[in-house]
Amino acid sequence: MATCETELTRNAARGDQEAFRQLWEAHHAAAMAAALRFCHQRALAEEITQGAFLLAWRGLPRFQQGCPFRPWLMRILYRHALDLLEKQRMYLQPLSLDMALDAEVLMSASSAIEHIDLQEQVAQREEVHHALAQLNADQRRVIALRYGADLTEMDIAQVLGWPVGTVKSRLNRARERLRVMLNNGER
Amino acid sequence: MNKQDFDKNTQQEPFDLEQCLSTYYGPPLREQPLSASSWQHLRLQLGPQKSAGRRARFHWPLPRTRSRIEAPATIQNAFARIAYEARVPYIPSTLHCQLTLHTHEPEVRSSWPGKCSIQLFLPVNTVTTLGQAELDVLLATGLARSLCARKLAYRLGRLLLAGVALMACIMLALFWMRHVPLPGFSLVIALWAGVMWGWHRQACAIAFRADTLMVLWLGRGHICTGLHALADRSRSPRRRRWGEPSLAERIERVCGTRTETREDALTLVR
Repeated sequence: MATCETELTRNAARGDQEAFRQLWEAHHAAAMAAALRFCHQRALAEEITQGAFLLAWRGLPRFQQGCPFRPWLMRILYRHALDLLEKQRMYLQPLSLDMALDAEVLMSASSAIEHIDLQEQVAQREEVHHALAQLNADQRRVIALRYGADLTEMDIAQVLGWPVGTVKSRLNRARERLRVMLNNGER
Repeated sequence: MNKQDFDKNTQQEPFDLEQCLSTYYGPPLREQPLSASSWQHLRLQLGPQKSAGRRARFHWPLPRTRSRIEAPATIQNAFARIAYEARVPYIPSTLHCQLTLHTHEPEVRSSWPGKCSIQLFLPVNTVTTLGQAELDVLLATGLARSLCARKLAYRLGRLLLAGVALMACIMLALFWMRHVPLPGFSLVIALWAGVMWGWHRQACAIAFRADTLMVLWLGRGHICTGLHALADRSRSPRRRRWGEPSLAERIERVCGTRTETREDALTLVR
């Protein structure tokens, strides 16, 4: 499988679209799932996924052959998703009905939170959404990667190209601010 | 209601931020396949693949004198990629290319802070031999310097220096009118020298700061390759110019410093 993927990436880097199609077939569904978890909107998630694959195609000549393709693709996808979310000012938009419904569909995949009332869930999401909008862009990025992509601080540093110390401090500061805002909201 | 019940009601449960954020983003999802038409849509946008190792080849009509031309697709693509890495909006009109017969090595200049444009000067004999790493370093240099130059501290510094220069001019005029002897003029000359020195130091500081930014964007290995290639091309890599550190100095700072090399920077498209 690894050899096959290496072969595919090598051919795709040379311009073989059929090889790239096979890579797309193998990885697009996982990429779409990650994007959807990030933005909770199917149309936007599809745009992010397609954009990430387009960037990957352009970057393939610089891809180090022999390395696994998926982590590389996911780093591109996360960066692209964060850029797009910031560009479209998604956090400033009020939570739409579609987003709420999509979120509910996503939530239903987990059995651990079934007992929570859906209405309460949507209200809580609205509150978190509003709090995230008040963070600065860098803080939102680290929060999204930490909780929306389940990345470690090391991985976040690699995706964003920041030192690990910077990631930690921004994450802590973002958490503190969110804690204050959400705590105040609850009371 | 007894006291214990009252305490229980007034004491709130500890707020669990982790749980709150996890609920907001939801659990990891199963794979979400796209329709087959999505691939067709993507395929239409792919375009030809460009090899990273291959040297850029430009096919321009070579003019007799310096000419300002629209940057070709290869350069625009490289600029777009660097803008993406730098997380700044890509505006094609900010990049201007000029072919020139008068210089022997490619160079880049950032415009005055307000204008936000980057000028790339390419000698006609280098356009067919310019490597990808060299091109990336030139473009990233221009972009990084223009970004650094927009900083408030830099603008205030320039403003201060311009103010001192203006004051020196006024003093010169006054001394001239009042026939003040030599000490007055030497004071003006000292002020001018101070302004020139300050200007040069500030420009060099920005250049070094810009080099640090470039390393963050493109990775140290790639930048070193480009800087060495530019130095090989240059007739005098150790020559300093006013407001511009020499290539040798930049190489020493970027490639010679004991900074941990991030190997993955070479593979990350980001």
